[in-house]
Amino acid sequence: MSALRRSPLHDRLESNGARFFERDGMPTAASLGGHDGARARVLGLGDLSHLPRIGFKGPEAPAWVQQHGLALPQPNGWTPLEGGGLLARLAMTEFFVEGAGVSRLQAALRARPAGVYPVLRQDAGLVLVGERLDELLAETCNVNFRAVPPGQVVMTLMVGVSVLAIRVEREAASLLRLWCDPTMAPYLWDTLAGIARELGGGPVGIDVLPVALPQV
Amino acid sequence: MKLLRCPINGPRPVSEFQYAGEVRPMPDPATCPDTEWADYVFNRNGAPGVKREWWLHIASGVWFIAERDTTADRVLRTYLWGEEGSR
Repeated sequence: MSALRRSPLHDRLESNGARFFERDGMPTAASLGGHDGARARVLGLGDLSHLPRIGFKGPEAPAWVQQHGLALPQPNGWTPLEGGGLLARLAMTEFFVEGAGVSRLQAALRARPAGVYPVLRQDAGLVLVGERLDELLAETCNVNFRAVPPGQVVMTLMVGVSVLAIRVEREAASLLRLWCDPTMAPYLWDTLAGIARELGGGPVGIDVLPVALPQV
Repeated sequence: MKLLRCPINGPRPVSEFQYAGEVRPMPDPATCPDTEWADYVFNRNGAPGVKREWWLHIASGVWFIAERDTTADRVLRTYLWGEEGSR
């Protein structure tokens, strides 16, 4: 495989016996051994670092978002993008985009619009899913996500690591998307995976994960 | 668990915050006398009372000011820089 990108969790996935395939220019774990589906039902931890993402900020950034026909989220809020991506507003004038929609905005940023500045985002992207998600959150984080209104972005510390978190309620079970600095990702992964295993789940490949976020 | 209210992110445990010292207006080093400059550089006010302090919400990078009564260990209010008047 001659991928240009490499997940900060590549070694962790490899040592878990991952079967890799290339997605978005990055070797991505399709599955981790057997029983992924059973683990994901209880509490699955997955690596979605392969998804493309960009950030941008600047005084003209909110107007620029609207120029591109996108709904402007509230500060500390997010909106889904067509095709399963998301647009999060991290401050009055700072934005974070992941998934579908990134390439279009990236191309538009190359034209150097006035008052909008690109921000390099190399976050590790994680996802937690399953019935016992709340138990893991109670052990690792101080925010009561059940009380957080839908459509809100939470910036908090999880086991001491600064994370950006979005919780999405789905029909079957809740889903939590997490982003953190890539250098902290192996520690966060090990800690969350350890707790997930104790609860009857563990790391899973993306074959059993909902990669696209459902509409809010 | 102690809670501190971040003006942007709302109440959070104090472990998510970093204390960054008292709010101290800097005298102009070009014009102020040496004694005043030395006082600014070396001396800190440790007297108990209501203090204005810089705090940082680590997870989101929000800098704000907390007014804290150090005798009662109570935070009176928190606000962003430039929003002193808003109560």
